[in-house]
Amino acid sequence: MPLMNEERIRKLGVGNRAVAFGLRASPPPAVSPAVGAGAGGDCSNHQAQPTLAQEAMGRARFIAPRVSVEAMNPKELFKKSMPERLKWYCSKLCAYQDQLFESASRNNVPAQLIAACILNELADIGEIPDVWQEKLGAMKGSVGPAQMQIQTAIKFGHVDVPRELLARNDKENRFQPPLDMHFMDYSPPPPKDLLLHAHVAERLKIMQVAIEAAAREIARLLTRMVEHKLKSWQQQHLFNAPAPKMASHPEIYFQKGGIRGLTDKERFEQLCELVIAAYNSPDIIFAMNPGRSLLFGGSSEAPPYHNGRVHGFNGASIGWDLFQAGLFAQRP
Amino acid sequence: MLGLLALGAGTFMLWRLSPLSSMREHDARLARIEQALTRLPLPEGTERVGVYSRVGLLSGNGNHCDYVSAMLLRGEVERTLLEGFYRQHTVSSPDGYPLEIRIGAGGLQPAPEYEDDLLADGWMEALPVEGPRARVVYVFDAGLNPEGDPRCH
Repeated sequence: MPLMNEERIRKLGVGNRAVAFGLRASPPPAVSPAVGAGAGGDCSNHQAQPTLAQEAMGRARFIAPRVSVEAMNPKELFKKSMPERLKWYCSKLCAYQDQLFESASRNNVPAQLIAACILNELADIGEIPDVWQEKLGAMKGSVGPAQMQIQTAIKFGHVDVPRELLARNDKENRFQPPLDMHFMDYSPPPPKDLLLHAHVAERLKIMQVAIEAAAREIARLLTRMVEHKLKSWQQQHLFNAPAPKMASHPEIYFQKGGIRGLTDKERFEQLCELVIAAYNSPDIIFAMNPGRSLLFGGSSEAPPYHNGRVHGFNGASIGWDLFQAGLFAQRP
Repeated sequence: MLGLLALGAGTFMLWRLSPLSSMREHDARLARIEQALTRLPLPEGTERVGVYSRVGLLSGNGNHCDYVSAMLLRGEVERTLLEGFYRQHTVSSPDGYPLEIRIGAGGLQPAPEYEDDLLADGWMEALPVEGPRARVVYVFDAGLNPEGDPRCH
């Protein structure tokens, strides 16, 4: 009776949504893609921003804003009606839809998954310390619309860095002041590590860079999941898709057989939960006891991987909205 | 007298500030995890060289608190024997669920997903002395609520 099981799982998911956000349990509103788009889910009214490919060709130059995020919390987002939520999603990402599609194609991951991941991060921004962290010019921690940790971006090469910065040699660059120079006139050149952190922190505040960085991280996480298919988190979602480098197209991740679920929408929702939890806490991929998925009745209150699993669930709810409305769907 | 009262009230309020109180809570939780790890018996032929624990945003993205508690062991014990030994033991998290005891892949870092510069600095002196006989045994409690702790954002 797989159908009954899936029905039960869907109901459990709705119940848990209420637990996660402290809201009244209610089924997701039935909005057809056309109605969703008409109700604020259409990107055609937004002025498209240039993409990283255009920047590379010298047709655009991006300047990072001092602060790239605004305070928001999941409770507030999910209190909004579906059309209001779609408007909020559009206000954040519609102008960058071209970048979403460009990054999705380059990394072979679904554009809607990148969108759900970033919107989930944007829905969990505190005035203190997240906004203030950027105001103060932090070079540590998570920054930008993708709330990517600077260390993660550097370590896995998620942000492109100028060749001269990578090739910088601190010892060779050490400036030897002439003997007659007053010590007040001398300042030592900044070390490579500091410059690298400053560059990556600044670039991550640019939405296009954040989208590409999130896409690269998602591709990396999916690859790790393929290598550890038998671990509990992947098994809970019946994840059985190839790594992005081997996949024939990005939609393979929510096609039948790739992940648990009866319909494309259900499978996409579960893909969002699977990946967005790991985006927060990648260790969930390898853990023997990652805790139970909230979509399948796990508790939203208790560890282990509490924050990751709640993020996964919130991201799944956003993914459900996007899929329902057909927002940021890349047509082949 | 009034000044002293004002100073006392100010100190008390500062102490109760959300970031500070959540940092204290996280530190206390970390101390309990470290205590549970170091209470474990050591495999025969090994001795503990150092212990390192840290809380903060140690892996992944977004905002969350990760806890790592690691100990450096010295001894002529095969990795498989160490794994077998620690499979018989558990470390309970302060919330009651079991934490997986893991053996580092080699070197001073616990695992590629959460390399830690501070740990490397702290144990840098131990590696040349201990060489390949050094093993890192650690627990990693990931993805907990960061609250206002600035180390987890």
